[in-house]
Amino acid sequence: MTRFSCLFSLALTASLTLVPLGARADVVSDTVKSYVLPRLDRVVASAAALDDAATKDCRPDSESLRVAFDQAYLDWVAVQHLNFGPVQKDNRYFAMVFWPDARNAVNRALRPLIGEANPIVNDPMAFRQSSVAGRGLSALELLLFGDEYPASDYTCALTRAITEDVEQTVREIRAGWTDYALTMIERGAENATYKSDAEVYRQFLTALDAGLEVDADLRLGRPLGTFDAPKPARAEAWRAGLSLPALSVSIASLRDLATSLSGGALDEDTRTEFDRVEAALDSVQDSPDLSLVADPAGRFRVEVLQQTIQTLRRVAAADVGDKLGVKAGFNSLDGD
Amino acid sequence: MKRTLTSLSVLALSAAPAFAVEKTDVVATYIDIAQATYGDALTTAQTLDAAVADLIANPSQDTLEAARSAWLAARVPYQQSEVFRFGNPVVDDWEGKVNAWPLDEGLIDYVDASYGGATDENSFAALNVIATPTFTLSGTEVDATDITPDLIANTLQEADGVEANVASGYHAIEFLLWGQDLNGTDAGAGDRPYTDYATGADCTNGNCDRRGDYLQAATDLLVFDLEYMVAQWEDDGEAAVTLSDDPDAAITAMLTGMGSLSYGEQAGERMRLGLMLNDPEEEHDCFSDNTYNSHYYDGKGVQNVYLGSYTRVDGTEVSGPSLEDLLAETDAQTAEDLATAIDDTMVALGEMKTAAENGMAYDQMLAAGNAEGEAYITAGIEGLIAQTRVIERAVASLGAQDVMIEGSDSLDNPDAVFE
Repeated sequence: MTRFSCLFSLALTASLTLVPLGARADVVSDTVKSYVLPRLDRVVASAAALDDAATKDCRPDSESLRVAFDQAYLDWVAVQHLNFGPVQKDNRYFAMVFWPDARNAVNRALRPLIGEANPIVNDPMAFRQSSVAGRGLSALELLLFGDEYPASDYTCALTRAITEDVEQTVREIRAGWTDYALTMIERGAENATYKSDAEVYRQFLTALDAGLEVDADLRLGRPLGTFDAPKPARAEAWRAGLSLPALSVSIASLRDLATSLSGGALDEDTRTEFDRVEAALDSVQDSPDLSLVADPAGRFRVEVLQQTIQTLRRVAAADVGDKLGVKAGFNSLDGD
Repeated sequence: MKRTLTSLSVLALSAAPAFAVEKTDVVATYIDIAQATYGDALTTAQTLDAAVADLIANPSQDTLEAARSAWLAARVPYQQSEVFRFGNPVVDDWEGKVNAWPLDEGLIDYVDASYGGATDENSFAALNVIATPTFTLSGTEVDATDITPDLIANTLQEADGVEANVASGYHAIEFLLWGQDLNGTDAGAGDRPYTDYATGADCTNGNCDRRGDYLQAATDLLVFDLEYMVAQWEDDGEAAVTLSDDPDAAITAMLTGMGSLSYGEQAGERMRLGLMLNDPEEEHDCFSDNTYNSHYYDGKGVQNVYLGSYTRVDGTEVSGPSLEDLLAETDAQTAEDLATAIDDTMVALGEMKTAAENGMAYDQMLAAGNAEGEAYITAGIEGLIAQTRVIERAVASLGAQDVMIEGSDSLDNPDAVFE
């Protein structure tokens, strides 16, 4: 447990009484209560477990620490596409996972910290002001699974600083959702953020659409590179072997989101496409770090998987959008 | 006609300003300003090219300083031209050749050990072409014994499909003139010795002849690329013809460029991200510590387009009917608000420039815990975001179609500007 925990577990308890359960049984209320909040609670629990594991044993080869890392990473991936509201405050989104990292920012943050044995790791408030790239799960992955930073007393302290910071970040996100859940459920003319049903629907639909875009274009597109220049080292969290597990978790979570937005059951077309994606995922299970992109035959399987996700994206956005009567909006990948 | 106004035309005149602003005239001003701005970018680059030749022929502290001064002077018009990006495909397709950023400079020349080697993103981040006459790139043997503009443009630039392999343009030249800035977020810019270009036993850091070849080839290439862009803005050039042929699309291009440069590019990629990372490498002119000028003149370019006026490097003014005039006819309030918003941004960027000139370089402003520095940068970001919101209103008032303003996922609420 961290010094922040008491405050935020209070906020967590309060959230249960503030959200008027069952007051408006509708798609938004169901999605917030049955989809969003339980997944956020899960990240809070796994981030707390990660910090506990680091407190007990901070060595990079600690099995319990590595297992806790995997769990926290994947639980975060399950909510990562909900990139609006509390997640956008104070750079929290980037402070959780800094990927893709085209500018090598994670190493550029870690190198001077470790090189100078910067005592900032002993001051959580100061550490929170440092580079977002150096204080999240992407940085922790390099400490636990990379070979650039040999284990030392300093990397141990840094590991603990990161796990404490990550726990703090997810607690802030979860606490922010206490109010934000109401903001979404109680939309209407008086609501400064969501003036109508359509605006909330569009927010969720955009999250679904952007989530599938990230899966196809970033999680798969970046390591695929080109036929002549595949880029396996651009895969997400490949050192931890989480590239494929993260993709699978993301697809599963997006399926649940689409189901919730569809009122509890997917349209047949969307269900068929999700099934196809899951079958294509099965075909690459032998390569959790997606390094098979460098092999022509393996690469073909990844390209097929990418295409099925792109098809799913079109079908799901149309189906779910029709059901809700809205179209997906812009997202931050636009213009890239 | 003037003497025989009917009552109807009197009414019409009282409803609209006396001198109607024609879109075609506003577009003509825009093209004139682009011509002049790229023209100035070219002449200042030619001056730089001559200064570089002098440095290589007569390496000394003086010739190095002269080349650096010429580079700084060349940045002033070029940065003001960046507002012509985004809306004009001819510029967008070309821009990476001259101003790509950020770069893995270890591709080009020696770097400090703290730079590290190859990265997940870039196997060639530490290639060091200057010290490596032959190497294998994506399975192909490359002969780099002669460093030529062709080698830089067609083999090294974006080598291995990696954008950070910036081999050409202002920032590659900047690196070769200043070297790495190893001061982190402390005072000081890059400090490359002039002897990196010396001959014989005076040569420092090895391969001085190849380094000189690279610098000269890169500067020649910059001049060549700018000549191409100047030609695109001549009256019969592709950029000018495309705009003149379709004034409505031209207005869209103007607003797209103003909004995208302000928002996604400058506020987001060049300023906000640096603050998030507290990383001194996240500054646009990171070797020379000239970033404050780059930001300032980017902002100035937006103002030039809006007000229809550009002051050339020789002090003459190019001006004509402006976007502001056009907007004022349909929505005087927004026209005024946009002028004010851009003014506010220029005040903020001006304060950042003054602070930098007084000794707090941009990379020092990025230091974690430098609240004063952060405030300068934040004021610039907020000004740019605020003016983008007004640009959005101007888009609506002018009925401009298909304006897509480029975002940046570093901005807190990337969708807000579209609402």
